[in-house]
Amino acid sequence: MAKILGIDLGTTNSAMAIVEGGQPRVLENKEGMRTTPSVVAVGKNNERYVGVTAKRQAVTNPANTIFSVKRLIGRRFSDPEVQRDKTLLPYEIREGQHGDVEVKMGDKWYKPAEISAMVLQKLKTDAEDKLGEKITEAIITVPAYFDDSQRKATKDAGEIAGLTVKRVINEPTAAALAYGFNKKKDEKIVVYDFGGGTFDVSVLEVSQDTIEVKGTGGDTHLGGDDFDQRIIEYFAKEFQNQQGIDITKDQLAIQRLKDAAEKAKHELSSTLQTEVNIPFLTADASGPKHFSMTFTRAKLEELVRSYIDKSVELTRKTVEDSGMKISDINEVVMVGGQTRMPAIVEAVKKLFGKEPHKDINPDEVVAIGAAIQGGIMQGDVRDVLLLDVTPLSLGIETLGGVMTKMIEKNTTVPVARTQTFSTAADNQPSVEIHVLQGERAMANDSKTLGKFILMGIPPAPRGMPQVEVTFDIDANGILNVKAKDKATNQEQSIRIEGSSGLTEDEKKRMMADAEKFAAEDSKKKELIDARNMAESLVYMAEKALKDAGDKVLAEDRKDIEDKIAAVKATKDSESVETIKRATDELSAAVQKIGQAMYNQGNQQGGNGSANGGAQGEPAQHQTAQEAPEQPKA
Amino acid sequence: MSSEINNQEQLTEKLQEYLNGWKRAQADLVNYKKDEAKRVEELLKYGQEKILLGLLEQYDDLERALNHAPPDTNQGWLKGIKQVVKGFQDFLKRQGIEKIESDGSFDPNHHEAIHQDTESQEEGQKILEEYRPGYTIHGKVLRPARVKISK
Repeated sequence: MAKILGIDLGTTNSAMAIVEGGQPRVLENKEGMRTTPSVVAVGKNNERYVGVTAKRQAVTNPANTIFSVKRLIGRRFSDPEVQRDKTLLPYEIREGQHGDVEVKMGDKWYKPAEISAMVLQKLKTDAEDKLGEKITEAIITVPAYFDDSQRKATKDAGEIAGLTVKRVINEPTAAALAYGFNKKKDEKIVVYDFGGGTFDVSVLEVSQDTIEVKGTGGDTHLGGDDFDQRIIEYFAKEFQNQQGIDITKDQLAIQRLKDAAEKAKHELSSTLQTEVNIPFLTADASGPKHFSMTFTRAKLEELVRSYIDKSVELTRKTVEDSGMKISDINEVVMVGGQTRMPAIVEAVKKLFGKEPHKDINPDEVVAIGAAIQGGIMQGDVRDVLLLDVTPLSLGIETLGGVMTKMIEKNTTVPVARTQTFSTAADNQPSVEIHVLQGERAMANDSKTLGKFILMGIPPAPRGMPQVEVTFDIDANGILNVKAKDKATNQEQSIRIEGSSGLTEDEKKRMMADAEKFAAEDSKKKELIDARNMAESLVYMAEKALKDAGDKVLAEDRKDIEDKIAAVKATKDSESVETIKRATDELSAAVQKIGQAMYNQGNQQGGNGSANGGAQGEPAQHQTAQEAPEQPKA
Repeated sequence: MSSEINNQEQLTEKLQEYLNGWKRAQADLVNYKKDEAKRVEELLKYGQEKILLGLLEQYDDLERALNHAPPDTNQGWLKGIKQVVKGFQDFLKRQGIEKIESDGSFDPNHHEAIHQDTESQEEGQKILEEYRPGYTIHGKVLRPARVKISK
């Protein structure tokens, strides 16, 4: 069964995704990019270019480079949109036989659907190459305000490209699907889509089985590109102030400013200021001229404030026109690269009084939603198969009061994980399994889910018994913890229901705490690990000395005994460095035992140091000796 | 009696469906692993692209600086700077990075046209000037050369 390709056929850029293993995945095109420019061109030699290659030659061939054809698809020539765009687009547009639109590329006239088909064709081919299988079906997205004629033309474009279009769905609906909001019955959702060239707002209502579009609005000529333009103008003006030179007519200089503007804009989404550094921007009689300045987030926001305010006003209006109040809106979804800007997120948050959803890559969320729709139609994505994740890590308490994780948070369930542990003291007859939940490093700071004891461990030196602990979360979210002694096959287990029985707030608090105390916790853990290792090493060294007997030279024995005492002395030290230093010195000294045994060419020695070897490197080889446990019983 | 049989049929059908679903999920996992291995290989090969692209931008400026060396610069010092630039070039070569040829005709697979000089006498979209060099990495275009071309 072939995969259904989910396609976001955008005005400026397109993206595609499929569902694999129940999960959506964006596919890269042949050039390795996750988005493809929606541009088609015909060159002087009649060669056709689609995507980024078409874009690269745009400047040389504006009359035959067709971009933003989405503005024309399915429209009548007489539409005011078409008439307006006609003056803005550098390629020829005429009225077709049936009052529709035709564009000229090369020496032929095409319907917009045929041009879009070329973009779809490239996506289809690249997807087939990536997946190694044929693609015959697709879901294509369109703006919510597209009428029947525009939708049909989009479907035609798919068919021309050799795709059976299973469905044409609305872009905001696809975005909502990507977030799983099709489950949120009776909820009202606003999708705020700020892309490169267009701004679209949609109001959706989720009913029993469908997502309905209640209203649309926006500005088809407002986008991130306008933001870039403001920044470029500002840079050019600054340069003029600094150097007295007007570079606005210098193609190359403007190109470099454009690069710098885009880069600065992106950086300022995560920093408060950035350095703009363009050496050798231009030159005059007195020599080369450079541009450098500090560009702050505050300044950027000032430059584009009017655009942001406009988008907020349009959003407010769209909600009202849909017959709703701002307070009626339950969820807000961000779409489009420009929504990465903190000022925009803030503005939207302020308007609706709630945090907008932006976790899914805003450039890809529509393609992902389209893929999910395809998956739903194919039965890849079914309610009954929707899997949960464990929200918090699960583990047990080990030597030193440490929380040792068995299952990391956000692991998809059902899942089972097994680790082998051992005893902390010689002849320890039982181990206590203390089941914990949380992100902190210490057991004390974690939540206890349950405890049980496995008894009947035959007498053995510490670190020798092998106790296999298994954490198993089943499809119902029930946690089963089992401990088994591999020597006797004795088992004990405990069943914990509702192991994610924490409220949202509790979960949030626990995660916030984990972050807050991360540094402190990590230091504590480091100290405990160092102490455990020291203890292990001392035990091993003493045992090795005993086993080696008089094969060890007296002076070496004394040296080792001294070093053992030194490590023991650091028992209560709070300094990891002190403990580590003493441990390292002992470790080096202990090598002599191995050497002595080896020099005697004795089998016993071989065995002794093999064991000793495994224990002497506890940090690297956490095999059966991992974090032994304290007897609590 | 018949409703029991119906029930049994339904259950058997569901059973088959679930077993098939399970098999499919297993197969998907196995296939995903195989694909992942390929992806990791690709990633290793091209994964440093982002870093290298950033590095190339700085290297561009270094080359620009070199091209603007004033005539009265200390020749000894200039020689040293040239060596630094050569060191950079050698480093790029070792990463499998090659400069894109910017003579001859414009090819959008390798070049990005920034400007078209309509005044020039040349025809056939010849490259008149390279504004910024382009590079390939292991044969794949890392970034196109930025050029000025003729009609």
